[in-house]
This record gives sequence, C-alpha cells and structure tokens, in this order.
Amino acid sequence: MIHNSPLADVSSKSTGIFDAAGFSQHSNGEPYINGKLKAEWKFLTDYLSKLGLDGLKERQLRATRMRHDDGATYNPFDNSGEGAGCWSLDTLPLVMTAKEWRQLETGLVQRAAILEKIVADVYGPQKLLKEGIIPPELIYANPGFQRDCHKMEPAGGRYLNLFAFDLYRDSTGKFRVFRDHGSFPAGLGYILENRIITSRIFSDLYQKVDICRLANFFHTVQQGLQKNLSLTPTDSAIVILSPGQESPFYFEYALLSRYLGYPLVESQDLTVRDSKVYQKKLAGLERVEIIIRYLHDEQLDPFSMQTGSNLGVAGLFQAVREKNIIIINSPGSSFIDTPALGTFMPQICRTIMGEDLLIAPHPARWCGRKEDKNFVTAHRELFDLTNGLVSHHLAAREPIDIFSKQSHECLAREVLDSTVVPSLTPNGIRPGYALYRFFGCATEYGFSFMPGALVISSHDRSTLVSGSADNQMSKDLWVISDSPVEPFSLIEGMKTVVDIKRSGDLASRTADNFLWLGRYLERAEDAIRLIRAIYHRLTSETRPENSPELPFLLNLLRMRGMLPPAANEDKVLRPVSTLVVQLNDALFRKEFNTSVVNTLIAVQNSARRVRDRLSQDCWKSIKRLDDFIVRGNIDTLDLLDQTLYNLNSFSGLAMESITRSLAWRFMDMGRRIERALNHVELIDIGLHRRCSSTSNALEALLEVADSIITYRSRYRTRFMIEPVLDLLLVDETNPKSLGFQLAQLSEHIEHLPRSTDQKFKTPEEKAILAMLTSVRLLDLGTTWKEGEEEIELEPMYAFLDTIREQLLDFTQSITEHYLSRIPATSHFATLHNK
Amino acid sequence: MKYSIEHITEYAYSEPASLSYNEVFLQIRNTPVQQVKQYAVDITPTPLKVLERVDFFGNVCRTYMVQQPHQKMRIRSNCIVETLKHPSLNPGASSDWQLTAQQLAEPATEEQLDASQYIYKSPLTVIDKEVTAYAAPSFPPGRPVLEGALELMTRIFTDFTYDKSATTVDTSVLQVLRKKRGVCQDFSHLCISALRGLGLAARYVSGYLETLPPPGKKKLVGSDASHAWLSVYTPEYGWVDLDPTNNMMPNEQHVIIGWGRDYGDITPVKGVVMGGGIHNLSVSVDMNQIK
Repeated sequence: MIHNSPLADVSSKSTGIFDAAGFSQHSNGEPYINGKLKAEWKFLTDYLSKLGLDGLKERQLRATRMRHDDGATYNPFDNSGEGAGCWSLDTLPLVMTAKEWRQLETGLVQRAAILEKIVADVYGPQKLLKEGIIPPELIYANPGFQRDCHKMEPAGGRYLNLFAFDLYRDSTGKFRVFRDHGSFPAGLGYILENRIITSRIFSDLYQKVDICRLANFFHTVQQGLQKNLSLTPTDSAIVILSPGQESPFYFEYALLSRYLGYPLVESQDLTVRDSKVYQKKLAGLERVEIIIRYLHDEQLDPFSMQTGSNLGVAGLFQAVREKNIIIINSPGSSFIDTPALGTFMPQICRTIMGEDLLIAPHPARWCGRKEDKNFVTAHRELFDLTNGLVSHHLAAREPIDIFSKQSHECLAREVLDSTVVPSLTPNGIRPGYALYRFFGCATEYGFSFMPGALVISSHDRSTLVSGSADNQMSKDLWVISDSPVEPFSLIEGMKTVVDIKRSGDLASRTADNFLWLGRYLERAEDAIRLIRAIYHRLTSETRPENSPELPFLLNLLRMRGMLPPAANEDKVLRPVSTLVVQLNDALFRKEFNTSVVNTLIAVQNSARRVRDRLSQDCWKSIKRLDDFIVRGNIDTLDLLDQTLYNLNSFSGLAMESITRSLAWRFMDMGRRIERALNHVELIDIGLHRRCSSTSNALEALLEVADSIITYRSRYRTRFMIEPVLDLLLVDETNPKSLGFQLAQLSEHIEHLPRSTDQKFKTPEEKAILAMLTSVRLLDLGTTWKEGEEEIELEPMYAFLDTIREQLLDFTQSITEHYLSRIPATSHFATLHNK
Repeated sequence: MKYSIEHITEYAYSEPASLSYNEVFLQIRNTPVQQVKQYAVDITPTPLKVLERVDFFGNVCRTYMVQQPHQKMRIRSNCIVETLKHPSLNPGASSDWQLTAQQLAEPATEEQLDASQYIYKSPLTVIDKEVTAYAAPSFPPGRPVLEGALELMTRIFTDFTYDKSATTVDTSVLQVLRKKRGVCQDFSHLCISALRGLGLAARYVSGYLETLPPPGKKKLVGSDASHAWLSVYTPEYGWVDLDPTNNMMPNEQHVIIGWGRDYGDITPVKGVVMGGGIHNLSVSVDMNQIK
C-alpha cells in the first residue's frame, strides 16, 4: 500500500521540520522515497511536526545530558573530562518495517552461517583454499590469519557467538554489507544506551507504537551462554574482558557488564593454571568458563602472538586448545574482517551453502587478480583504495598507493553509494549518511539478530567509512512490529541483574584500586589542609614571623617534597611573595609529581578504575575535582575549601554506598596507612623543632595534628610533652592518634578473607599486631627523664623510625597477599653463536 | 652420521618467579635426510603437565607451566639423530627463477600451494625495495633459481661480518642490510627477505651445526650452538637448504629442528614469567658424533 502522505502535508505546516533541507530531492533515502514519505515513517513525522524543531532540540539536549550523566560521553584520554566521546547520540531515530526486517534478517543469518563455516575451514581443513575458492594471499599474506589458531576447535563448537555486521542502503534502497566484526560486537553497549535514552525521551511515542524491543536479544545471549556452563558455576563463570579503563569504549564495557551481570575484568585479573582460566580474587582463584573479550585476536595471549602488547593472558590459547574455556568470539575469528574477503562471498556462498548470497557485498575489486588490478588502474577515479588484508582496526588511516604496495594488499572499493538519512544538527534537520550495525548471536537453533541497529552516521561519507567513533554520531533504529510487542524493559534487566551478582568477594585489582584511592584521597586532603593552614597564616592579621607554627607547617610540606628545601629556616618567610609562588606550584604545577593537582588526578584515575562500583553521586563528586584541575579564576582559598568539601562529600557518599563492604575496607585501609605515615612524620618533625626552637612548638604540633581542642578539653593544662605525645600516639579514643589508625587497620585485617582460621598467621597480621602492641606498651613516663629541660628524645625518634618501617612492611605484605601487582616479563632464548 | 645432541637452556632469576609459562620448539623433525632415533626433554622444576602439539608448520611444540616459586629453570633436550648425505644437486639445472616465481604466484599443485605460503612478508622479514635491489644482481632474467640463490648466499657471506654484538632480537632486516653485520639469524632473515622480494619461496630453519675444534685441540664442552639457516624452494629439487653464515649448502653436519616463516615461528624457548626480577639466561649445546 502506498501511503499517501506527501511532502506538502508536512511542509505546508510551519512546524514541518523536514522541509528546509530539501529531502524530497533525495528520492531514495529516509524518510522519503521517490519524493514520497515512506509509510512506516508517518507516525514519526507526524509526531515530530507536532513537537517542532525546538521541541526536538530540547529533547536532544536532554539526551545529551543523560548520556553525559551515564558517562557515555566521557573520554578518559581527555583530562579535562569534557571530551566528545564515542558516537554521540542523534536522538532522531530511523524506522524500518517488520516485513523489511524479516527479509533482512534472513540475509544476515545466512551471512553469519557462511562466515562461521569460513572460520572453521581456514583454521581446519582449508578446503576453500585447496579448491581455489579463497586465493592463497587472503590466508598466507593476511596478518589477521592467526597460525596459532590452527586446529583450535572451540569448546561448544561455535566460532562466532556474538558479532556485528555493518550495512548500508545503496541508491536503490537495498542493503549491502560494508564490513564484518568477527572479534567482538563493538558498539553493543552503545545500542543499549541509545535505546534506553530514546525510549525515555520519546516515552510518549515509544509506549504507543509497537517498536521491537532489544531486551529479548540480550536475554537470548544470556541463555545461549548459560547452557555452556558447568553445573556449579562461580560468580566469575562468565566475564567480560576489557582492554582497561584507558580504552575510549570503556563506558560500553562497564554498561554491558552491569546489564548482563557479568563481571568486568582486565587481563591482569585473569590467570591460567593447569590450562584452566581463573579470576584472581581476594579469597583466592575463581574459575572462569566463558570470556566475552573486547580484545583483538593479537592481544589475547601475549605469549602466542609476539606483539609485545601488555594485554592478554599468558597461556589462554592453551586453555582454549584443551577446551577449558570458551572465548567469545573464538580466537582467530577476526579473519572474517578481512576486507577483501567480501568480494569472494558470492562464490563462497554458492560453494558451501549451495545457494545465492542474499545480501550483496559493497562493490569492490581485489587487486590481487590481474584483470581487476588492470581495471582499477584504468578507472582509478571510481575507487577508494584501502588495505584489503588488514582488518579495519589495524589498518592505517592514510590512503594506500596502489603502486607502492604489493597488489594483493590492495582493495579498490567503489565510492560508497549510500542514501541519505535525516540527521539532527544545530541548524535543523539535514541529510547525513549512515551505516547500520546489526548485532547477531548464536543460539541452539542457529543465529539470531537484534531487531534494531546501532546506526553510525556522519555528515559526509568519508568520515562514515574511515572516521573514528569520536567524530561520528549514532542513531537508534526502530523496527516497527506488526504485532503487539511484549513489554520487556531494558532498565528492568539492569536492576535485577546487578543485585544478584554482588557477592562478598572482590577482584584483587578492584581491591588494589580502592586501597590506592584511599591513599590518594588522604594524601590530597592532608596536603590541602596543610596548604590552607599556611595560607590562613600568611593572610591573617598576625605577621607571619609571629606565627610559631608556620615554619613547622612549611617544613612538613618540604618533607613531602612539595616545597624546595630552604637554606636557612628562619629566612624562609622573607620575601613572602616567593613563598606564595612556591605554594602555588605545590598546588597547581603539573610538572611537579607531588603537587596537589597530580594527587587529585591520581584520585580521579583510581576512582575511574572502580567506577562500576561507585554510585552516580559518588562519581559526580569525583568529577567535580575537575574544578581544581582546570582551575578557573577562583580565589585559591575558596578553591581549597571547595575541593576539601568535594573530597569530604565523596568520602561521605562512599561510606554510605559501599559501607562495610570489602571495597570500603580497602579504601579505608589506604586512608589509615597514609594517615599513620603522615602522623609519624608530623610528630617526628614536631619533636625536632621543639629541641631547636620556640616553646610554642607543642601547641603548633597539636594544631597541625588537629587535636588542640581535644587536648585543652582533656588536660586543661599548659602544653607538656608527655600528655601531648600520649594524645597523639597512644590514645585510641582520639581519632587523630596513631593508635587509632592502627586499631582501625587491625580491625580491617581481621575481616579480610583468609584461607585459615588461625589468627596472626599472615605477615600483615603479625606486623599490625607488633605495631599496635608497641604503641600500647609505649611508656611515656620512663622513655625520658622527668623535667622538661633535658628530655631524652632519642628513644622516641627510634620508636617513630621503627613504626614507619613496620608500616611500609605492612603495606607490602597486604599487597603481596591480596593484591597481585607482580609484573610479568617475557623472555626469549636467543641465538648468539654461529 | 650419527649424533648425540644435548641442548641445555637455563634461566636464573634474581628473585623468585611465582609462575612461568613456556613454549619450546626443541624436538628435531624427521626429514628425508635425518632420522631421530631417541628424543627426550627434561624440565626442572618438574611441571605438572607438558603439553605437546603439532603447529601450523608441522613442528612439535611443547608448552608447560611452572606453578611453584622458583629461582631457576632448566630445560634439557636430548636426542640421538642420524643424518644422511644430502643428494647432490645441479644448480644449473634448476628452473628459471622467474618461472618459479610465476608458479608460486599462481600455484597449480598442492606442493606449489604449500610452498607459496613462504613468498610473503612475515613479522620478522620484509619485502622492501632496498633488500630486493641487493638481491637483483644475482638474478638476471633466465637464471636458474638455485644458481641465483647460491650466489646470493655467497655474497651475503662475503659482504657481511659475523658480529654477535651488532644486533639483538629486535634488529630489523633493513638495519642488518645497512650495517652489514649480524648473526646467523640476521643473515637468514636477510636472505629470506631478498628471495621473497623476488617472488621466491624461502623459509627459516632452526637447527644445530656440528663445530669441529681447531686441528690438534680438544673440543670444548658446550661449544656447539643452536644455529639457523634457510631453505629455498625449487620446482626440481623441492626445498634446498642454504647456510649464508657459513657459505655452504647444509649437509650431514646440519641437524634440523624445524622451520617456519621466520625466527618468531620457531623460537627454541620462549616464556612469560611473573616476577623473577632480572633474568640470566645461559644456553649450552653439545653435539657429538657417536658410532
């Protein structure tokens, strides 16, 4: 039925928002075909016309904000934190009828079946090669052909489990395949995020129209994986392996992990023992049975691939060969990404399926064939030359000179003849170009595809084909069902899965990051407090010379390497202007390792590494540290106050959201370790000063140690060394004392997972017990002689030194026991002799 | 000739290594010119399991893991092998090199197809104008392929200096060509690259060569070494070995472990170690004739 909704219908209204860009002339695009609106678009154009351009723009803004809040636009490489991110969302969706989808799906399923047979063949009997269906260059000269995967049959029998194909509509409106993604389904998290957002901002429409839901697909994926698990799977049975938080796509991995309920791991979280794969957790190793990897083939096993990459798990391939692990997708499956393979697909399909290829490939000629090379040379202007063997993720972006390369490396692609799609720009709706990324998965009964697509769009064709994700846009594709859809919410899935999977155990790497997060937080807070105290004294009514604790404070900064050493301690205050410059450097100079700004960046980085464990609010207060890092025209003292406030609010929120969990324990241990170390140093310097200078030194010490009020209320006496040290070292009821920090550490240690019930067995238990005992037994009455004038401080200094060393040993033991930070190195026996 | 070969690779670590994962290509292959009579490999500390597999090129590969803390690891590979005199060849009777290259570019038989996998560049070899230009004078049009290859081998032997200190595992073929220095592995990679640049098939061979002490002196224990050379494909004689380091066609004194596209495919011993600090590697090979 031709739907009679001519352009005039829309453009006649002042709110018609498709008219400005002249869509009617693009006869075979979206939403107009032959100058007429496609029937399936009617509900959407009606809706948009009612909404108007401003209304649409307002929703776009909301969407951008939502994506930003979810972290989808966050680019970890960009320290300012406001990077564009990958595939920013153009909210205006595309639509497709269920009828067209079913037809397309048949073609996609056929393609998946062929590609799986190709992978099985090239790593197995190689019949396609021997029978001349695939030319030898495509295998032997192909860096994507992994010889290590020779005869490697996947457990479960599937090479391709979760993958994606990029298609486009040619000028006749028919879909063609542009490229394949065999290693992993890149973009699966983004389609999820896009759908969550479009369904929310167009909720009025989304509820009314029967749009095929995506949740079923994820459910199918989960079921498909589940049936491959053993009878008693661990929490780590299925993991998502990411290249790490530096990846621009980290958001996607974290989202999928939350949504599917599979832990997100990195290479160093996994280890192979007896050809089985385990995740390293605090309580020990946990068996992994399936890995959904977001690493490329050549990054999977550092050992087999000789790439020198520090990603991957040594011995992983051996585990695959022994059928002890399922990797999704099977190593070597990026062979199907080989660009030149597309030109052979029609014939391969006839050979192995005995039928015609349903979806035609993008027209291209492989220059390894003489006739094709000659044709391309004669008609150079018709083609874009690319590397035909190296799959897109490895291929250099620069154009290839056909004559400088061996011709079998060249693929001459016809210029992309794609139709236009409407894309939302700040100037209204304009024509753009689009690739449709369709996602497929293996099921018991064959392959199944998600009814929808991550539409990657761009204002010009070359950005579409060769641009990177951060200068492309993305859109949602709505497949309009012809029967009522089951109400299956994506968000629901998200809620239920997360809770089930939070067990008492913690990945070692996560614990490690929490420990460091705690240390950096404390370090930053302490340094800011210190500098703020100095600023207060420099700007107060009292002359700096008359502020007894000022030199002490400066000394503390100096000990931490935050200020240059002073030649003569008494002269440091003059001139004050020099000091202010030095303090400024201590705060803001990124070149100084110890500066506050670098510590805050370290806080952010550690927090980012555990972002999947932090609540949205926690994360926001971490992000607000950007104010300090970017440093606008704010008064320094205000900035310090505000940053302290942000740090405190993070601690408060973290306390609430991760209370008493193992993660919190590690974070708090980090804090206590750092605080104890700082405290020891503080007392050490304070006592030294007391010998060399004024009688106000004890007051200054208490002041800096934030214990002066406690002292006054408790002792109501002048400052005497014995009670001062008692308060700062021994008194476990003073939350600022060393004893308090040690008692806290001891309590944490008691609650960590252990392999034996016997107490005080591990080095860290012994270390903390030793420290705590020596503090408790510290006899302040006899450590020095009575009479303030001739105090023997040497034993006290020795005590402080011992504690400092024990603290460092303790930290070392924790790291060795619970957190595996041992570096791995590779070695090669070389040939040195004749 | 019958040889007994003992190849010991030993790693000493400055700190205990908690875990190491290793892959070794040490087992000698059977070929028409050599027969393995006995083979054994012995690893300390003893791994739980040693897995054996045949790789893409038909070589035997062993992988194993040492899972207890260790400061030393030793791999002792022992074999008795009988080598035969290689059949004598007539280089002048081999095919025109261009014809050979043509056949490899469009392989018609299974043998040609199999050989054709060695005409492309590989991770440690290159196809490069400069390298190809170096080979060109030895390959005028119409020259028999083996004649050209032998001349190229002799030129490398004459033009290049054997120098252990000149290169490392990471030195590229181009650097070797420019420096004119290197070790057996470098000369083999260079010669392979040069031949592949002409469209010919060449593969890397890992093995041993018996060294003889200077006249009147006693052979030193451990003085032999693992060695490397290459093979070039000829339609008449199949794969023919060439040793550019010694300017000779390998014969009874050469024992083949296996082959691949380059050193990376058949590295004798490689591994990943967790911890271990500084590694100290020592290798000794003893190759003795037995009656």
